[in-house]
Amino acid sequence: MESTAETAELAKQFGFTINKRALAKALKELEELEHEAREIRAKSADWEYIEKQPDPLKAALRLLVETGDLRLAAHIAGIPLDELDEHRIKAKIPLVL
Amino acid sequence: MSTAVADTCFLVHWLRFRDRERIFEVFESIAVPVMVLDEMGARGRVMLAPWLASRRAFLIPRINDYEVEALRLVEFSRSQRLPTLDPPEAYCLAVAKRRGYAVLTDNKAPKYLAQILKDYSGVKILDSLDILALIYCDDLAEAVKAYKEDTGLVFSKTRLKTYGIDS
Repeated sequence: MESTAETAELAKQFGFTINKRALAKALKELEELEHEAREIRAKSADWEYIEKQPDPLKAALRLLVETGDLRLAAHIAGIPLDELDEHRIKAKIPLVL
Repeated sequence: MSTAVADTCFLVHWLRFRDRERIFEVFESIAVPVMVLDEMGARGRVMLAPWLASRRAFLIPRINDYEVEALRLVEFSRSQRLPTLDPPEAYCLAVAKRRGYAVLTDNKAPKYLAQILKDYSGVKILDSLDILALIYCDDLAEAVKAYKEDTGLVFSKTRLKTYGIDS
């Protein structure tokens, strides 16, 4: 795992400057939010619907429950983002903001 | 009023919302990068068409300067500790910084990167909940309920609390 100093150095290599305090706060916040979000997605999902779908849609919906990444799931399913979102709603997978 | 540049995930969700037209109470116009349009399927394009026809939304072509800046952001975000930024949302950030627009996105990565990178600290990043809060000041709880029904999105307890809603 990189340290904040390493992330700052990486930012410098890309020509960016980072706010170290904001980085530490953001990482903590993200970890908490993602934990809550993953639980909500897994609990609410209609697994029967998901398991009935053909691959790669089934794999995409499983990935969506795990990561919440709609764009990546659309890439896996090989369909436009709004079509994947239709399946997400049918599969009762909430996206948590 | 100002202009905002919209990412795909935001548009896909917001265009499902029954009161989607009310976004123009907050922004005069919505910029849509062609890169974002390319990710949308038939439904999204059909919903977006009236906004484009009435010039409340407009397309932003692929421009080399923005693409180079977007790639720089994407590569940096590949660092293990940061939320990964995808090219379309990175493109939105690059456009927003250069043009002084706000960014509309339902992904976490742009919001956090704008907080972390001093270079992007001036860029305003808003998601669906932020927009609902701007539109429905006194009736936010009802709006959140309607938005959830229409889009299947939910908001974290922590974020709802910051807007004074106990879920």
